[in-house]
Amino acid sequence: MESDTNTKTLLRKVVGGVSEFSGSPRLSFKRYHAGKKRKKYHPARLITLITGVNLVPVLLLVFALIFLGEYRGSLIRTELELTKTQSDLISTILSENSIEEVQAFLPENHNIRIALFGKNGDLISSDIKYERLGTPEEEAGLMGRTLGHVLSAFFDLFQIEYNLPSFPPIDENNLSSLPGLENALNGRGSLSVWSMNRSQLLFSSATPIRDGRNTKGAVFLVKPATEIDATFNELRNDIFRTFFIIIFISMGVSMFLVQALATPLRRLANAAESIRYGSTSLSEIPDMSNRGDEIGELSIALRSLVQALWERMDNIERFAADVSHELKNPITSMQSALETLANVKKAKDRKKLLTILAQDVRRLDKLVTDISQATKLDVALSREKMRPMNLQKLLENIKDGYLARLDNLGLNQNIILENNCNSECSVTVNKDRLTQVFTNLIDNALSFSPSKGIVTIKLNERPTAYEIAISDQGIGIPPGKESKIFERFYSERPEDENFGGHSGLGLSICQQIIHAHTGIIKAENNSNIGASFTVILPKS
Amino acid sequence: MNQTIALVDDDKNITTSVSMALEAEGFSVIVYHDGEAGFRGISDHNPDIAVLDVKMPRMDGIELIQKLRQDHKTLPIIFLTSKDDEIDEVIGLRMGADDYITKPFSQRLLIERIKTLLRRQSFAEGGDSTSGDEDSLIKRGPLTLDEDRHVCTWNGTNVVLTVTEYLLMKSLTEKPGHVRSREQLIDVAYGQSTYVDDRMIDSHIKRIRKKFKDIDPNFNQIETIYGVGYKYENPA
Repeated sequence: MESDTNTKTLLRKVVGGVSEFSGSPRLSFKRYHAGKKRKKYHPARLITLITGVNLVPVLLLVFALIFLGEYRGSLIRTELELTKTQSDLISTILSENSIEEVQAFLPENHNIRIALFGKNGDLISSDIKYERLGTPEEEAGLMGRTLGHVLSAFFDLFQIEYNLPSFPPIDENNLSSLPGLENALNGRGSLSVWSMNRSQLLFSSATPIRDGRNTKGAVFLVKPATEIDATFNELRNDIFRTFFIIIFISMGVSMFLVQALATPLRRLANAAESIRYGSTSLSEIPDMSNRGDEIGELSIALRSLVQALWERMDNIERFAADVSHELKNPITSMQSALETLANVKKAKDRKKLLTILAQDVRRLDKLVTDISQATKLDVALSREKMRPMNLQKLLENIKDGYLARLDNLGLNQNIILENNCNSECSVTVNKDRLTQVFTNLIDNALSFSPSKGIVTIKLNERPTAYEIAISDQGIGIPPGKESKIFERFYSERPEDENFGGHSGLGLSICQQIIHAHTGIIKAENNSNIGASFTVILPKS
Repeated sequence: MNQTIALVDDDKNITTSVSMALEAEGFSVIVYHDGEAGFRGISDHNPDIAVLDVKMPRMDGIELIQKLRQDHKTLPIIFLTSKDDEIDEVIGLRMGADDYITKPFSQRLLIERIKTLLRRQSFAEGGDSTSGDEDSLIKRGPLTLDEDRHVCTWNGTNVVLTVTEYLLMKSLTEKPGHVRSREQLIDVAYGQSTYVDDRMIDSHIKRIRKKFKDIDPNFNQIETIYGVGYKYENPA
C-alpha cells in the first residue's frame, strides 16, 4: 500500500515535470532563458565609425599643417638667397665706391638694418637697434590674445624644429662682436639664420667689402623675416579657420547620420534583442516602414519575422496540444479496455477487448510514426532537392505498382489512368514526397471505394500547370467539410473500415507537401458519385 | 427499470469497452459515433443521462450540447475531454454540462459520476422540494452540503457544483481550519488509483471560488496555504 502511494507520488512528479515542460512552449522558452544574463551592449560602434570617418578630412588638414612647416622652410631658403644677394650687391657697390657714397643709397625706412665697418673693424655707420629687431607684439583683445596663445601652442605641435641659435645680444656701442664680422673682415663672408624671441626668424649676413684682393671693410646686414612670418601666419590662420569650419560641419554631419542611421538601428536592435527573450509583441517593434529606406525595409522585415515567429510558435503550441489530444484517445481506450477486461468473464467479450487492445497499440504506433513524420516534413522539404521529372511516367509507375498489389491487399477495386496530356509533362518536384502524396490520395480513394469500385487518375494540361485529379466512387465528403478535411487530425472514415489505420494526418501531410511545391490541393464531391482530390502543380 | 445512458464518442474502441463496463453495472447503453447521430438518437430515445465526447466529426460535443439543451433542459450531461482548455469552454461558458471527465479516465470514476448525477436528478424530479434528510446535511455556517442530493447552498442560494467540485468542497469543510494537501484532495476527487496533475486541483479550486463569488462577492473562505494545499475557514 505504501509502495503504491510512493509510485504514485513519483509518477506525479515525473509526469508533472514533463507536462510542465511541454504544456506551453512559450512559457518554457522564457523559462529557459530567464536564468541567463542579458548580453551587455558594446559602446556605440556605429556612432564612433560615423564620427571617425567624418574626422578624416580634418586629419587631412592636420597633414596640411605639417606640410606647412615644409613650406615655411622653403620660404626661409628663398629669403636667405635674397639676403645673400642683397649683401653681395651692397658689398659689390661698396667695393667700387666709397662707403660714404653708398650710405646715400641705403634705404631709410626699410626693415633691413645695416652696419658698415672699416678695414680694421671700426664702425662707420650703423642703424642697428637691438630692441627693434624683434617685431612688436600685435595689439589684440583678450579673446584674440588667448586664441593666439592657443593657436601658437597648437601649431607648435606641428612645427618643424629649426634648432636655431638665438641671436646674441648686441652692445650698440660696441658692434664689433656681431656674429661673423671677424671672418668677414678676414675676407670670408657668412650667412646665418637666427631665432629671436623664440618665435621670430632673423637673417644676418656678414660680407667682406673687397678692393681688388684686399678687404677694405665689411658690411653686416640683419633683417627680421617679418614678411615670411606675416605670410605664414596668414596661411596658418586660414587653415585654422577652415579647420574649425570643417570640424563644425563634420560634427553636424555626424550627428545627422547618427540620428538618421545609428539611433533607429539601435532601436531595432533593442527590439530584436527583446524578441530573443520572448517578451515582445508585434506592437513593441518600431514601425519605420514610412522611411522608405533600407532601415525602413529592415523594420518591415523584422516585423514580419516576428509575426512569422509567433505564428510558428502558435502552430507548434497547437500541434503539441493536438498531439496530446490525439494520443489520449487510444490511451483512454486501452485503460478502459484493461479495466473492463478484469471484470468480464465471457470468453467472447474478452476476445473482443483483446482485439481492441491490439488495435489501440497499432493505432498509437501509427500515430506516433505519422506525428514524427509530419514534424520532420518541414525540414525534409527544405533539405531535399527538387528535380525535373516526367509526371506521366511517375503516375504510370504508381498505378502499375498498385495494380500489382491490389490482389495481395485483398482489394477488388480497379485503378484507371486517363492521360490527357500530350507534351513532356515535366515538373520540378521532390519525387519521393510527391509519390507520397499520390499514394496517400490513392489509398484514401481505395478505402472509400465500394467493392469493385473504380479509382480514376486524370492528368490534364493547363496553360501554366498540370492538374492531377484522383476520384473515387465512395460516399463523398460531408458538405461544408471540403477544406476542413485537410486539417490536422481531422478524421472522417468509412463506417466499416479497419479501425485505427489512419491518424488523421495523411491529408494534412499531402497539403504541406503540395504547398511546398507551390501547388494547390483541393477536394470536392463529384456531381454523380464519390469525391475528387485535385492536385495542381506548376509547369517547370 | 434499467436506466439508459447515451454514449456519444467517435472512438469505437472506447465506446465498446465503456459500454461493456456500464452494462455490467446494470445500465442500458446506446452508442452513437458522431454528433449528428447522437442528437437524433437522444431526441428519439430520451435517455436518462448522456456522456458526450467533445471532439467528434460532423458535429462536435459543444455544438451538440447547445442543440440538446433547447429541448432537454434537465438531461444530465457529462463531457469527456482530453484538452485542459476545453473544460473552460464546456463548463466556464455554461454550456450546460453537469460534469466533465478528462481522458484518460478510470471507469470507476465515470460510473461514480454517472450514478451521482442520476441520484441528484431523481431527487430533483421526485418533487422533494424541501431539503433532504436532516442527517444527510452538512452545515458550516451559511454553507450547506446535502449529501443525498449532492447539492451545495450558500446562504440558501444554490451553488451549482460539478461532482468533482462538490467532493472537494465536502473534503475541505469536513474539518474547517484544517489544511488539506493537494494529494489528499486528489484522492478524494479522483480516487486513489488515478494519476492527476496537482495543478488540476488548483484549477478546480479556482472554479469553486468563482462560483461562490458570483453569489457572494465577499466569499473568501477557501484559503491557499502556500506549498501545502488549501483550507476552509468558517466565516467569523
